[in-house]
Amino acid sequence: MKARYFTFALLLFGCMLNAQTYTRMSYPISWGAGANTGERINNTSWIGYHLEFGHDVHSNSFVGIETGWVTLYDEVNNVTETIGSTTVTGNQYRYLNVIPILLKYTYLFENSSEYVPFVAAAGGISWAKSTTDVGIFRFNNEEWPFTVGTEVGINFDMDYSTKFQLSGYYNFLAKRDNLNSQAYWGIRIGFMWM
Amino acid sequence: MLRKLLSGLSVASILILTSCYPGGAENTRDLDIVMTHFEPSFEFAGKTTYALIDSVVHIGDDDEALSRALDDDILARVNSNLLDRNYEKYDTTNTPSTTPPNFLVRVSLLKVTASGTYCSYYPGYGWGWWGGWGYWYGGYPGYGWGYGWCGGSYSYDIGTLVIEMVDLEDADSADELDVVWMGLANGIASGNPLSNRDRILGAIDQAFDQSPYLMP
Repeated sequence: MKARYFTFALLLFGCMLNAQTYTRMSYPISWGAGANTGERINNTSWIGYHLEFGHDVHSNSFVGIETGWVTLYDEVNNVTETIGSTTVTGNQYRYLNVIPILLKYTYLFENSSEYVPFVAAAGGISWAKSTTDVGIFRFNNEEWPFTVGTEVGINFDMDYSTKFQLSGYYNFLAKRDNLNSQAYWGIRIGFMWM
Repeated sequence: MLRKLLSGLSVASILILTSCYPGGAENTRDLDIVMTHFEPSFEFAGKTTYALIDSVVHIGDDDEALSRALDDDILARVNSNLLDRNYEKYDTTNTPSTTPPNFLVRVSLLKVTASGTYCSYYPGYGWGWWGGWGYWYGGYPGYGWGYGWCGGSYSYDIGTLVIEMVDLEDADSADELDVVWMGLANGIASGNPLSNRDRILGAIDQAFDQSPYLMP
């Protein structure tokens, strides 16, 4: 059994040594989705970035690590909320900050043209902080929820190693402790270097 | 060359775009809030009369408590809201003292310099993240369901209007009065008296509007 593990590890290590690495850097434009995020924050987010590093495991398949940062924000005036026998009215300034740390698998639909579609799936955890400011008070919920994501996009070959990328993505954060499940989606515009 | 140029542009774009962290209040009025709280075990129905203490209690942590110029307006607006909800104002002249009003209503104005101290608020109601109202209330002794505020040292002044309805009918003694409803209007005290007047009177209306159970 040990010999099998050793052989498998050796093969994997060999693959990694010969792997083609890639780096992605893109700018996301995002929107909240679902009841907990989309209805709470109904605004376009122009703030964030997306980074990804990885290597190939097959001619068309890549495994990498994805991270980044997205801030969703909305302002709602004169909101009245009741918790138990207490009711509070005021302007609310609502934020959701997410930093995902995901393991990602990407598959490229290689073809003869310079436009190459791809699909990807990711899973991992995120640091997520939901904040509501009312008056001089701040309500925070900060957790590390499990996260899954998917992405569909297209690469455009700019030169032998640089690709322009346009994609759509969706991330879902599972409920954890005080933080309800969250979801957001958006488009990413950026580059990939191989 | 293209690779370096695109890398540089990407990093620069990210830095520029992420430097614009969004939003927040733009003026003091945006920070106004109105909070109301009632005692769940208290039955409001059937209680019709109230007595309104005829002056506003001013509480300040220095010699610059909020001006008394708005006191009459504030009392008049509290009174009109109670009358609009079909409560009867207690007749202090003709009603025998053996028949007290159902409620005693008191209005207080507080001006404090707030601090960054965070403390629990209404344990069990999930308000532990509240920063408090900036003062420790030491008024009526023996509140049936005590509440507390924490205060401190922000660099700006906070004004808080407190309207309290005390259950007189079921009080065991003058030292054991239960606050069955309270409304609080909290905001940054601005230097504009006209703005403060509109904000305070509007907050009084809002406190009653969001308390539909206040019906005799």
